[in-house]
Amino acid sequence: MKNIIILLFVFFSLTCNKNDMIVSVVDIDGLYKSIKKNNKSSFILINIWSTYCLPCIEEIPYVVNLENRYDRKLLDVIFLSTDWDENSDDVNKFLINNNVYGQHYRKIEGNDQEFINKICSDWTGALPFTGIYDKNLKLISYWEGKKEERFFINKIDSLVKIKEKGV
Amino acid sequence: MNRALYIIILFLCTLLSARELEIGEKIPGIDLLMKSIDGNDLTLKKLKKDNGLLVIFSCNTCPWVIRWQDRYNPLSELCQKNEIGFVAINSNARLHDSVDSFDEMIYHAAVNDYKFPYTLDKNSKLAKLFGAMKTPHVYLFNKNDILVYRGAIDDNAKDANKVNKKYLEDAIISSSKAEKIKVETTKALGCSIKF
Repeated sequence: MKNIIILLFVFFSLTCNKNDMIVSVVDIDGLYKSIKKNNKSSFILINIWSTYCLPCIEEIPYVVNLENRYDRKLLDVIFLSTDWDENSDDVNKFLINNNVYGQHYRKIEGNDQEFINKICSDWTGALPFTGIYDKNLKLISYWEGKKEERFFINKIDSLVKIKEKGV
Repeated sequence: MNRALYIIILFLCTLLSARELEIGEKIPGIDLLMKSIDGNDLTLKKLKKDNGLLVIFSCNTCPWVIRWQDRYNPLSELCQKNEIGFVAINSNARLHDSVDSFDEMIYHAAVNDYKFPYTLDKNSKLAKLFGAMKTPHVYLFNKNDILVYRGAIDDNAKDANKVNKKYLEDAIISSSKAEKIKVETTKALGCSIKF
């Protein structure tokens, strides 16, 4: 029995860290397809960022905190990097250093205009951009530029309230 | 009913906060004074020429600016040739006492051999009037001060040799001939302006 417990402990130690953060390189259609396939949450928050972008880097800890604040069944937080290929290692390192886990994405280089418009026709292209989607991936709230943690929480809580009131 | 109203208010707030100058609108803040790196006080009125004015919201540090700025001088020459004024404006007010300070602008312009006016937009006043959100972002006005093109310089920030669509260059040429611009608005990724 003791050996089984030790084996289980070793197994979970090996599987719960290094394998828990994946960054897939996708175009916009691939992104939506992948999210739809994997989603188990009522709301999905996509934060679009870049390692080049200072406000994005300042904002990411707030977004990471949302993962701890909300149950995964309620909210899934996804990071979508717009870094160029030459910075792919920086993206992974930055997310790992900020304790980001789960499935995340990096945009394929090029076709920026199509990408921006397919995300949201009102988006100017300024980073960071955040969109909150319902479980069917319908965009229900969005903003561009860096916001404080309280702003994110208020937005999410107000959407949750609307949902609870009987949608 | 309350829920519907709440959602409408939520969306309106989001839309209003992102209000940007539209095609067909006049140059805003045309008399607003800006300090240029050559020491002169400039306004958009002083900068415009017979066939209009090109405004680029720019800065010293944004990686997209850094990649695109090799096209600034050729574009300013094209504007000069076509009697269109040209100005790059730094509206990063939050960084005006650090990496985007006036001294840093002078240094940045010297290192990159800027051959056009580069001005400081104190408190981001002009950027706010334009509804500009990012760098680099361009606004081309025709000879009647009307916005005729807004958006990206071209479709490839990383490499000028791999550009397929020269949006701005095409717009400058069309506007100077008083012809209709085929693509009036475009988008590209960029750094948010630090208000």
